[in-house]
Amino acid sequence: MCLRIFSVIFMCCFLSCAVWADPASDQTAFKNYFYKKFPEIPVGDFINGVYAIDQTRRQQWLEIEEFPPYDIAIDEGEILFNETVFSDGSSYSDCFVDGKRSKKNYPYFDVNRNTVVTLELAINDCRVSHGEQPLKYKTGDIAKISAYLALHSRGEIIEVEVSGEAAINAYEQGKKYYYSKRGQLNFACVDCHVASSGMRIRAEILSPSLGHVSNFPVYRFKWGSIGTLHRRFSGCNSQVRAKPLAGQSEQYKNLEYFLSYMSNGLKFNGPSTRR
Amino acid sequence: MSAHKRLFMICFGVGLMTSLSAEEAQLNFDTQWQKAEDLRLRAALIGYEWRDTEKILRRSREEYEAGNKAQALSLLSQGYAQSDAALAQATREEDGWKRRVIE
Repeated sequence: MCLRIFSVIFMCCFLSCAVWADPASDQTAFKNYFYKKFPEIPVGDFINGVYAIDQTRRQQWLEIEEFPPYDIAIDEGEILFNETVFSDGSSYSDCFVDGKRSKKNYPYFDVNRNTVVTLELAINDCRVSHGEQPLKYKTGDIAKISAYLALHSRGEIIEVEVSGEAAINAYEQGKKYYYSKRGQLNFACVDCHVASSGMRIRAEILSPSLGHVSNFPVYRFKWGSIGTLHRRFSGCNSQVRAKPLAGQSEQYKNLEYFLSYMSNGLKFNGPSTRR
Repeated sequence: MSAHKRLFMICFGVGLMTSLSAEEAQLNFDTQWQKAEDLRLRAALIGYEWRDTEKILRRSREEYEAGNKAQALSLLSQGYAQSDAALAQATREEDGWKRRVIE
């Protein structure tokens, strides 16, 4: 009897330690899982998602990348970023100074606002602070500007910081979202992109979560246009028959924060193309 | 209230409506529909609403107003069950997610 009680207490302590492990331990466990599951993939190649797993798709993707369909979006994003003049005479350049236009600075936790700030949020913050209307968050001009900035961030290292009580809380909320089942099909992100990563879902192969954030925004053939990471989150939600949340909702920002931290050390390679 | 009790209430409501006058039936439908809608909103508030629930409840209302009562009640029952299940999922996942964390 005593042994049983001891076992139960031991298991409770063990589980609580595992769940509330610090972000650094989470990251190590997360990465090791994928390194072990895909030992043949060089660590740096996880940024290529499913194209790191399947050679046929990789070849097709490399061919597409010779004349990438997101090129037009980058050109338009460059014009939008550099030539838009706000009603007060300022421009995006006034907001994105001192390297702030680099993706490696996002997402970060803003202690004063007590929220995660993503690149897309920063773009709209810039507009609003200069008297402009915010852009739609999932597609359109914001994705084009983001694509232009992503291009100039290629090769930079993802190095998201999670420090301080409020930041850790946001991280934990993102982690909870990632591991929680939702929707009529009762799926969590982890179900497809960890346990089933590398497996087929109809004609597609499920990509590993590690490196997921590196290549956004992406041009998806399914969309026929370029879209942001939060648009992709919405798509995943919808596919498991959960109601998608608004772009830049707290939940999606926290999820981006968590996923970005998990991919620390990998390189940005956006914008990219995906099926 | 358990899912079984809720289901019973819906069935009871549906049964009752078939033997009521038009005004009473309308009132009953509105009450049951509002209950389902309230549940949906509760699920939405915590980010657990299912994709099609709002659509199903809207169609239920439209069918009722078009006079297709059997179809309306079937959809209402479906919408109610979805909202109820979404809330149950949220409750379950409050701690359930921890079992899936990579260690």
